[in-house]
Amino acid sequence: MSSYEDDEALFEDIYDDDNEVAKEKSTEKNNENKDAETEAEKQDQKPEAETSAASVPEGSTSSSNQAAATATTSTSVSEDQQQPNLQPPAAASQQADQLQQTQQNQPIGQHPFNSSLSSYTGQPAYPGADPNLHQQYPPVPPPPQPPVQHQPSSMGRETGKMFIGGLNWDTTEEGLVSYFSKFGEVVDYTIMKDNNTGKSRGFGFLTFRDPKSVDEVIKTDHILDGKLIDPKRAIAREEQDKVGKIFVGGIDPMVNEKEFHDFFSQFGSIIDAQLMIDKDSGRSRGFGFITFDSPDAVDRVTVNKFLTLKGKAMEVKRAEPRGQHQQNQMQQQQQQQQYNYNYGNQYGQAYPQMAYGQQQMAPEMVEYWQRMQQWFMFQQQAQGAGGEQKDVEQPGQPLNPQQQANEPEGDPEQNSDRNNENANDDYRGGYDNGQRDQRRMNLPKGPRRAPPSGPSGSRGGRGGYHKRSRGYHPYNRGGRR
Amino acid sequence: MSWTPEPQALEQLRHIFRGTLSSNNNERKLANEALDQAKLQPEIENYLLELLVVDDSAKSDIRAAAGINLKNSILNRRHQKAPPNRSYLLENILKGLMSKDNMVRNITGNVITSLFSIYGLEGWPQALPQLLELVNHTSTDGSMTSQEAASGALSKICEDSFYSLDVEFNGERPLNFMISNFLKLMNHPGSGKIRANSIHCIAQFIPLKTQSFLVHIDEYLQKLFELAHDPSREVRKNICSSFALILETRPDKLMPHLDGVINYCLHLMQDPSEEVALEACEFLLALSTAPETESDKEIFSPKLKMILPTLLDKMVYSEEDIFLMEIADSKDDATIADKDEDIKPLNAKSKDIHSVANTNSASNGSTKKKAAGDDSDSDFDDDEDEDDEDSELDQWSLRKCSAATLDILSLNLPGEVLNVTLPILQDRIVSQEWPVREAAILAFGAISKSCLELAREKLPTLVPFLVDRLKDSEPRVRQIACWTLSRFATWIAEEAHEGGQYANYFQPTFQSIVACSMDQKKVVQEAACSALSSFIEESDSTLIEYYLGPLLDHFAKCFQTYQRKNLIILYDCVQTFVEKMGYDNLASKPEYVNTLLPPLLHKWQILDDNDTGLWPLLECMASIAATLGELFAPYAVPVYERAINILSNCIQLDLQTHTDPSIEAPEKDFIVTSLDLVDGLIQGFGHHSADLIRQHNTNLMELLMLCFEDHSADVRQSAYALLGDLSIFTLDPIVKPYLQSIFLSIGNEINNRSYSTFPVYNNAIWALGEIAMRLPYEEMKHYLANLVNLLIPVLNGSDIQQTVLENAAICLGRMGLNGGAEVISPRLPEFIVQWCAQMLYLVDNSEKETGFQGMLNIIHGNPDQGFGGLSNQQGKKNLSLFVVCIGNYMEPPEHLKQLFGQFLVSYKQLLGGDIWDHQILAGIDGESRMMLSQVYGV
Repeated sequence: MSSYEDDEALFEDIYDDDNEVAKEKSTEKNNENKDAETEAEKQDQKPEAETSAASVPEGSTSSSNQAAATATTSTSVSEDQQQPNLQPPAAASQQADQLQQTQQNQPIGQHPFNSSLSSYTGQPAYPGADPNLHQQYPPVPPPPQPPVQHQPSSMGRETGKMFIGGLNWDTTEEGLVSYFSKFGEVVDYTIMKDNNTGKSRGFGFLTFRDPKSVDEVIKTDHILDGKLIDPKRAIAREEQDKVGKIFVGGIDPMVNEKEFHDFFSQFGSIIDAQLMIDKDSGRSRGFGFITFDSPDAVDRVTVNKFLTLKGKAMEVKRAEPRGQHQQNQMQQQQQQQQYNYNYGNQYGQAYPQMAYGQQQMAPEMVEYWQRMQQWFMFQQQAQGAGGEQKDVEQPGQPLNPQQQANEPEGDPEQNSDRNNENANDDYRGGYDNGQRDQRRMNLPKGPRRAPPSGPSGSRGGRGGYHKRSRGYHPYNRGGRR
Repeated sequence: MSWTPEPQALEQLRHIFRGTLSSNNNERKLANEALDQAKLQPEIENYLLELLVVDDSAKSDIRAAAGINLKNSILNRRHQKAPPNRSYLLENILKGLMSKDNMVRNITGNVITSLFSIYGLEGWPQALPQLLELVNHTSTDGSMTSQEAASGALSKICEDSFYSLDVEFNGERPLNFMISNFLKLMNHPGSGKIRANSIHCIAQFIPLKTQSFLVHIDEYLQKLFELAHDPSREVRKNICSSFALILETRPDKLMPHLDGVINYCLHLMQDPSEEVALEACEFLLALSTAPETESDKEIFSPKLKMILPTLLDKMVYSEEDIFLMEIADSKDDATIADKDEDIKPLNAKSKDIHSVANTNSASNGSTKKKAAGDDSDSDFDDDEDEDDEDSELDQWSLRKCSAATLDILSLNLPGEVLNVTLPILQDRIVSQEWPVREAAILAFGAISKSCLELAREKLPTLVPFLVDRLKDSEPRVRQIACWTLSRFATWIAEEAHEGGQYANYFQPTFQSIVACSMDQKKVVQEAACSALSSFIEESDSTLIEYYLGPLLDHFAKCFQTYQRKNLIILYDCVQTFVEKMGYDNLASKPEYVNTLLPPLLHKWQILDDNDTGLWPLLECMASIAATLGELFAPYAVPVYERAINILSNCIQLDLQTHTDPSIEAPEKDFIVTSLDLVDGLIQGFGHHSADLIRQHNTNLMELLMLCFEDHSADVRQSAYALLGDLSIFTLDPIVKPYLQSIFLSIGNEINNRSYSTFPVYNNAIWALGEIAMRLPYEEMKHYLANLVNLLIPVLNGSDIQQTVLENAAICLGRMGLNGGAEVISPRLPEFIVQWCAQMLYLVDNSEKETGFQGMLNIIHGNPDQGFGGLSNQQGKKNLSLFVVCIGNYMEPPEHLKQLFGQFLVSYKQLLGGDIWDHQILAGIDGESRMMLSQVYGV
């Protein structure tokens, strides 16, 4: 499939990190500093980001400028046309057709990496750098073809429907209508409410008679009842089925909305791009959503779980309505594990390097083994002694500690798998699975992470609560590295 | 082994995968079911391999999915008795590294690592040689992708399996070959990644101290130096980490080059990449904490003039940090809630789906729940919200590492550090630019110990200046000034308490800090409240008593305004305060308690049982209940009831999760803190606690027994603490019916001890002692022998914590109180030496008293052989040891004094004055002898 080779070429560019990204990062850092103020201003003015309509607007539309290839969602039945369930091979070829279609129409846009590459002249762009550092610079490969950029989607332009988010809890429908009537005649409106309490959920829908009114509205910011609200063009329900939404996480805080939008437009036409901004600080919260006008675009972009923008690896996931969650879990779990070991449990649940002593029976183990034998005898006696045994199990054959000791230890990836999948492996004795029996049998516990809490003085008893932050300290190594 | 796929089956699999990636739910569901079926087929792994590695016609995401499934299949079957025949797989998997598709290469790498972790050298001998070959070969088209992929795979294998690779295999050591190869690859001309990976690979073996590495260490170091200016950031970073590893294992090898290495790291601390700079600083931090350098000042002293200025520079907030902070701080407002509640409605709803314990990131590093399969249900928003709390600014950074390094250096080389830094800092601390003065204040805090030691004359000017800075216009300056002042709290408090020249500093300082804890900015509040805790802790209680009333009022105000994060610190502060003031102070006026309690009770009411915000509150209340005693009585019943309810519910839920994976286990801290609260109540009510416990129909002891078996050490630790207090105050009514199980649990705990569980078995031993001294012999004797069996090795253990040793000694002694001597006396010689060593310097208190009293009984049961036989030297020596203990016991209570007297006199008579003076007393120091002679007449 020729179209995918192009795509793969794209990704190679993205993954060709070391030299490119290093260069980029340095020039970007400089640019960042200069842009710092302007970006801050920009971010302050950006309307509050809210999820776009996960709740589906009513209304119909006949617009659809692409062959609808995908079937409807199973959760809701559209009042309008019902798309037949297509056979997968047909869908695949249709998707391929679509891609070719979209690609033909696109102008060559700007590639974020491209600009920094071309501006790099091989001279240090950062102050205080040692020019000698670049003596042995390997030859820079020619920059790859800039990827295709897709036009913003024209979905939803036929109706005057809008989704309005960020509403003040107290805003009423009357208030909403009277505010927006300035822009044109309002023919339909609603504010979504919580079914139980009847309170506003902070968002609603509004339909203008004239679709152009929508254009007017989105040109400017809006404050209603003292709150900066977030009106957007709404997408009709059938169109909902045709769109694809992704969640993007781990976005570099320096990425602004335009860059966010532009970066992802290489994968498809974007209906809506939302970079979540903390409304208090005005800065990016590091995650966002993109709604494409086709699920193919989502396929394209989610081929990679991580994409790099401004030197930071962003995570991309399909954003599904909640019903999908379960199915996605498995996939996501799988994908997650693949990348988990990369960032490894080196610092996380890594066991101390205790692998050493385990291959032969160390003297401490011998002693321990003897102790265990003694303890067993005691338990048996104790059983004989007391009347009812509520909890004392019959100790079975004591496990050979050497056997246990021979399990290999140092595989962080597998540990994350263990934790995720709750595997039955019992290397760590009673630690992970919940059976009291095993503890009764004096199986050795795995190494623990809990820091000692230091019982005070000669008084024995002090509880196990670890105060997580014993107050402010400017250079505690408590934070993540 | 050869194998070819059946085209139809392959196409079917492709089809299935396509389906699993479909946007249509139904299709996906069907496809996944089909996939599950397919996975049961015997040759599925080969098909997956085919898709991943060979089938270029398949879409990238399908190949990726196949690869992931392959990896999981391998890992899931690792414990199968008869794993599938994988020869085809092993022979062909490496091809994936040569794919043009980056995703395929990546996933292949993961599959390879998984395979290797299972098969290892023995099961897959060709793996390493083939990988190395692949890294080394030159592509016709000049691309490096497959070499880099192979290099990456090797890197992870070395990381994961470093230990198992250090072996002999077929008569040789593969490591020899590998390391030689990696050394060459460190100079790979075309790819920085390969160079970096090769460094990384070798570095994994450094901690092993294996000969295979050590023979090459010089060459390795040499190459590291040569690569010092490598353009690849990853290379530079790995060089620094390697230096740190070598420092840990073979510092002697590094020492000759240390000068160069330090210079290099200092240079790299200026690297544009903060990652590299941080790694370089980490080396310096490691160097300054290394024992070799601690003792050998020569190493560091000459370099300090270069190192310290760099550290001071890097402690200044970076431009990026400043940018982020200025925005964050301008929006920071003490009246705004910490959590953004009016976020998208979708997420607000989905938060309710998870148990609330999942969210509410007040406690960030909380223990992970082990509910099966539930982990990835984590809503991305949860992660993001946690990220919000632990923002960029809170992470470990170059600034923090530099400050930590400065701190250590000032501890080890106080004079030199002061010489270099003081002039610089005194200049910078008055800078107009706030980041510069902020960093200078931070530095003063970091070097506070050396200032206290050697530069006290600077403090009278420094402290008032810092107090002034508490009113600085910049929040970050106010913040750091709070912290730095807390570092000098000891001096300020001492001056005041001892009526020194600067005694009058205390008041303005203390009051300004209190004022700062009501600052508009939350970051300042946080620092000020923490500083307040420190001041309260460091100061003599008389100083604080002066502020008793106003502080109570102040706390009440704070409770009204503080948001979640700072509340935690506030609770801690209140707890410190209450413990410092103690019952007498707080009871002196009724309005004190009436000011203290209502805000806490208010929080108590508004937080529900699932709210993690309860934890610090419960801890605080535990301490208050314990201190206030009967003053807390009006609230005792409802507080106890709720604590028990929480305890009971959580334990139930926890048990259920073992059988029902869909239930999410509650966080352990609910159990821990409710146990602690009950413990506080018991301590407060003393012997009246039995009534409190009995009036509630939930059986506390049953719950406690379950807690003894909990996996979480924290839970058990609190459980044994509670057991001890219950035994002190309510032994007969509450504890006795459960003795057998209790002894079993305690025994288990001691027996299964490991280094990191010492707080737990410490508490268990302590509780055991409290029981033993109150239990009649009849009820104890059955268990005694075995418990003693367990305790003696602990007392004699070589790797045991101090407090544990003390508690073990006390416990053994106490066991002698009620007739246990029968069992213990015969074993006295086994532990008498250690016992004396531990008891010698104990503070005089009831634990010491009861320990000795019991011990006297024990000795009485074995007066001669107990010491090892008084006719020989060792025996006499041991007796001496015990006598010294008596001599050091400053103020024994009267009856004990009598017993000591009798003891000493009888032994003196037994041995005769001559031996007594010349052999027993001879080895004893003058002061003790004087005591013995004056008090006991011996």
